Amino acid sequence: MMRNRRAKIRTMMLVLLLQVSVAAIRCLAQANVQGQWTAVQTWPNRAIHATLLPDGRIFFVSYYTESLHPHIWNPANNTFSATNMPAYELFCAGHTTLPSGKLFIAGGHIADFVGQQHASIFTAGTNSFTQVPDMNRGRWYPTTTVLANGDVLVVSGDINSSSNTNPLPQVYSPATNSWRSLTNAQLVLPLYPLMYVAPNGKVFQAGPNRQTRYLSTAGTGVWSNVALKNFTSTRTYGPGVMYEAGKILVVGGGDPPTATAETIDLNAATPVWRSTGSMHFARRQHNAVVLPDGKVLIVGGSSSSGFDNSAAKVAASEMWDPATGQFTVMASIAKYRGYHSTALLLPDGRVLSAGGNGGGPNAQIYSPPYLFKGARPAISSAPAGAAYGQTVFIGTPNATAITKVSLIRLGSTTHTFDESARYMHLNFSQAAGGLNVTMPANGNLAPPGYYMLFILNGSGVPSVARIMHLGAVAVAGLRGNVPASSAQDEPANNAIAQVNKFPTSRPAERSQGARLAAERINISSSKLAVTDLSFLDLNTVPGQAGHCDGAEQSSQSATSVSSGGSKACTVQSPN
Amino acid sequence: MYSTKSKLTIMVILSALFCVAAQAQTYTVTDLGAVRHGSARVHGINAAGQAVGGSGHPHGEDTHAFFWQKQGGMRDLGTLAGGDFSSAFAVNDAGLVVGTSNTATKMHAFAWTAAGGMKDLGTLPGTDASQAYSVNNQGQIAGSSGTHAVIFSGGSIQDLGTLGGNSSEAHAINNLGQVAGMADTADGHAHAFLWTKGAMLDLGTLAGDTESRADHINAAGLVVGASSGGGGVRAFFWSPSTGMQAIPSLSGGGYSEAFGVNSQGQVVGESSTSLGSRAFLWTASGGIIDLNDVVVGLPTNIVLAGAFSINDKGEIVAFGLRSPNVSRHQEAHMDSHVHSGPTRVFLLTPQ
Repeated sequence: MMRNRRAKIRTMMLVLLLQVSVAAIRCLAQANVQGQWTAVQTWPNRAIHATLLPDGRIFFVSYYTESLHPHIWNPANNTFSATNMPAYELFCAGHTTLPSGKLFIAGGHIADFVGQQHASIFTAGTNSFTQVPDMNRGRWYPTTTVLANGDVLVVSGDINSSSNTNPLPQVYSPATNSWRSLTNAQLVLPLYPLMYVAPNGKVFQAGPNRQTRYLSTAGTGVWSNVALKNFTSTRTYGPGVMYEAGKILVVGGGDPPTATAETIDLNAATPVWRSTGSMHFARRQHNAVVLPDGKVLIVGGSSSSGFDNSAAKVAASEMWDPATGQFTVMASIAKYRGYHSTALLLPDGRVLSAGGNGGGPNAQIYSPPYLFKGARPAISSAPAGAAYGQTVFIGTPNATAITKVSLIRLGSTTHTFDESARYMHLNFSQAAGGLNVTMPANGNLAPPGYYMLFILNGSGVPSVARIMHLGAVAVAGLRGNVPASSAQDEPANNAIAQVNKFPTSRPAERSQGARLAAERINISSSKLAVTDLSFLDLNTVPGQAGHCDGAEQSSQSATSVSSGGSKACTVQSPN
Repeated sequence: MYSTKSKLTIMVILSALFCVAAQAQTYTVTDLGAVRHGSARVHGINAAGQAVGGSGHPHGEDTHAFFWQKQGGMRDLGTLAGGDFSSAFAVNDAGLVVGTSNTATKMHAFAWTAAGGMKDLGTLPGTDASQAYSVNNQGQIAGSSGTHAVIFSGGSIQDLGTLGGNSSEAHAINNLGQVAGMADTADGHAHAFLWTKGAMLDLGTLAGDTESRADHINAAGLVVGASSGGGGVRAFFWSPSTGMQAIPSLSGGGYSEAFGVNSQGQVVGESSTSLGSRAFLWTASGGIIDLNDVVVGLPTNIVLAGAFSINDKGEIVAFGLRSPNVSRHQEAHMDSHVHSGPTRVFLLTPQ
């Protein structure tokens, strides 16, 4: 009897072990092809605006009065810190990282369709906002673009609900802390237009409207038409990505949404839009993120008509391969990431997807298939910065296995568009103990600022990035961290932190959400510290076993993220 | 003729009489429709109840100017050659419509008539951009060219200058040829101005504020707009006798702006509230009211978010939301697209 019982228990244990093993292998095999999402983690509020800082942390902003309380998420220990308060609501602003790595924020929210005239710089090292001189008029939903010389172009944005979008492009100079108006280039543009510095130095408007154009920012500015897109309507709330120097993908968008996508090569003598493969799902309100291997991840969105139709949520992610022009279905996300959601590439090669009106104050992190294809190459040394055209030594014990080196500008995304990220591959050669890598030739190819440098092996597996500064002059003494103070784009006159012409709406308005958010999570308001990136030096294969679409997980109980997402994908008991 | 004092006395009496009536005034609502898929704004209405604006995708894409009248509904006015955007801002009693259109690579003011279609109003010499915001019954058009406020009239363009700064815009012109708008002062702050026969008068700001803008002027020279600074963004009215006075916002609001005023001194605009933005009507004697509260039979799925123009019959054009997810009695859920989603345009008719 006893023996039989023990045998039965032994058999059951073996069967259970076998089942777990099979499940683990299945999950790993699936992750090897489709990637893997972590469980949903609760965040302090919705990440409607999100920016990767040079120290590897994520600055994010929610809506309405909650936007008076930005936060920073540190993926190293999965903690959140509240920043100091800005002087006005940052909701609905445009933003990008300056050459110094500081965050430039133009416009903001007074009321729906009514924009702030202010612009500010956030310095992570001192956790402070500094207002710069005001813009010509208000801007609600503008786009910011760092130019080849480090200045920032700002276009579009609503002044108020009764006017056209602000038609005057303006250029902010960090060096002089002043604005230059492109009075000869006044044009009514859509909100949050897709803008990219092109190889010829002009700024290319790739959408969302059908007519695409160049803006020359020299002198008082001038527009010239380039080409009509093939999609005959407008790609409203369809993102764009510069997936290689001068090459842009626009994907989906419109109402009803389209599954189509098209590309343009601005390096061509006469650029034209060419249709590429279509997504498996029509989408609008989705995000697109360029990865270290040059592929583009499509996250979230809605497949049906309507401004933000959460009933038609697209759970499946997709991956676009520029080599084939085809989309492949990837792992499904748990939440609806539609209007007001964000997605960013992290320095460890994973992708953050967060926020959204429907998605809520939470996030998931995606590990692409390349993180399940064997050991990762590692960067053992890299300079803090490099000048244009400079060849630099990147130390790696995996030098002979490296087949690709890529450079991606730190992302800064909102409303389906990343105003900062852009991808390019770099030429390199093998050297003893590493690689000699040649930096982009000029700021037209890669506007100055902070970039993630990845090395990839023949299986397409990327290293963890080294965040490097790229500019006319290499920055000494930096190892991916933001200097506490940099003269490069500090406003020349801090006295400019001036009278608040358009202060925030009164706290009574929509303050309940902010209070609730603050109650949901115990937020540290301590001063922020610069974070070392060494935690990102991984050489492990993530993704061990378990189900991948876990139940809601509080941030307090969230597992460490330093293993490429594997821990959050292990078997866990539901909450 | 009447002295200025007499005119003001008459105006005040008329305003008071009208306001008594306005307190009890109710409206019917008409959805004006759309000519392009998506979103619309309505900016002006004339004495005949004809309305103009722009209709297109939300966020300013693929938008075309429209002309609406009861018989025939909404008409697409197209764009200037090569353009992908236009919007009409005003229509006079003769049906002359003015607004702004993109050309292939520029932004130009236009005038439109049913007989002649859309014509480019051109620009000041040395500039390459213009906008038109208002037209009076003499056909004088107020707008901007380059960075200066202008009057387009009889084929010529008059530069109105600034208040000592770099830029200015003319937003409204009445039948006396008086112009209201905003202009930079020497210290770089924009102030509302009243321009009369060559003289630009700085209307200042509300106490404690640093900037202001005038959005409309009525036949008697009453100017309305918004002042901003330490007190937030607040609607104002201005007259020579009162100077600039604040129009209180609706309950719970920190933002308000006055966009239109008629000969009776009725002012319309937009005010934020604890429930979101609401269209308002203000009179000196009756105070401010939420227009959502005085439209008889307003469907529960419509919220009037802002009112932009009012004619002397008291007809009002407004924009708002029409969705099963919204209600004027409660704050909109964030998934109801109030924030930046599609908007509709409405005519409010006194009954």
